[in-house]
Amino acid sequence: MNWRRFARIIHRDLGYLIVGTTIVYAISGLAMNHARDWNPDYAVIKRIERVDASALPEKPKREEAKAFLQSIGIDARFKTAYPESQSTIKLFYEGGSAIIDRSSGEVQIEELRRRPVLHLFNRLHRNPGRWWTWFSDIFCIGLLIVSISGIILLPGKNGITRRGGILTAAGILLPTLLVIINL
Amino acid sequence: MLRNKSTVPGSGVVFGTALFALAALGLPNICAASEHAASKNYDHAPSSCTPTCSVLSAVELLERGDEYAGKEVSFDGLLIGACLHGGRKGFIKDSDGEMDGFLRVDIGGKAKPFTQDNVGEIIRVSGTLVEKRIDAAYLDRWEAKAIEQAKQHKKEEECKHACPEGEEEAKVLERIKEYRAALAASSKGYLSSFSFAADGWTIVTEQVE
Repeated sequence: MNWRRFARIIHRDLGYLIVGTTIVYAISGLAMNHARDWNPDYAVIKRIERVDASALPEKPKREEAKAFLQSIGIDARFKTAYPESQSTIKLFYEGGSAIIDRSSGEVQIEELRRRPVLHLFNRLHRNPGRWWTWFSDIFCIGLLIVSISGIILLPGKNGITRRGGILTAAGILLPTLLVIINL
Repeated sequence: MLRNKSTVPGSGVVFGTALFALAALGLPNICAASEHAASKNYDHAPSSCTPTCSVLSAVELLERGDEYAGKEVSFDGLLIGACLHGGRKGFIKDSDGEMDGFLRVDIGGKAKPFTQDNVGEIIRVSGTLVEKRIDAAYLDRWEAKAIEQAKQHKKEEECKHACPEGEEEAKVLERIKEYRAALAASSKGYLSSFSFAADGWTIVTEQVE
């Protein structure tokens, strides 16, 4: 078996093996790259309601806060309450929060819904533990091998000495240029 | 509910200074910029303090910041926010709303990070109170940097469209002015900005209610 054939086999089989993890990193990378514009882990649902909140004390007791939340249709587990300002109270509950303006009766409700698959992908991307460090190290080595074997496996006009070489150089030069310009 | 009472004169300045660097940069920026800085490893195990043992409140910790700076302590506070990127930074207030600002908690390498599900819980945090001293030289450097950034910002904006100089930088300069005034009034010759390097934390909402 010549070395080019060996590179092809390695490139093919390792490529199959790492495709799943590559997708995890690519999708979560896209999602987290735009974390300034959206929440990649949670969908944030906001709504405003108007109620009579005049009976709600400035520092509500646990039972009073719970009863208030139930009165606006929130049955989730109550966590805590704290006065945000002189006229507003923030009530935290499982899955969200409500800011109540006691004078105007305006209630700003913000609920978080975890994005099921994307949240998991993002968690892996951020490295949830030592076990993932080992796995992702192996994945990265695999990615390097796939890259290097990809460079050398094709002979001829599409190989690294001609068209492939030009494209590889462009792929290195473009980020290098961006770094020089911006950093 | 936690019941904290601020009794130390000038505690507003202490809380203000705790907020100082954070407010100037904005919460999202802090999360992004110092994510890696927070990944320092801590060798200590999380506090095994039970709900009945003596634990400080966030207010008490900041009121007596000079005393506790650099020491290992445990305190209770309300988690009002956590960084979206990794959750290694959290922001603590007291549940009575007496703190002007908030205390930033940086989670060490071995402790579990915060998630958005933890926001709104009262947590017990163990670790070390970190003091950053803000003196005249620090403010001079900060001001020079803000002026430079304002110039840079203006230059960039002029290229795109005629726009007045950056509002953010103006706010920073205004804040620096406020801190100069607070520094002049301080007998210590510096202002203290506190953050907390946590090596462990646990939810105690039900225990302290």
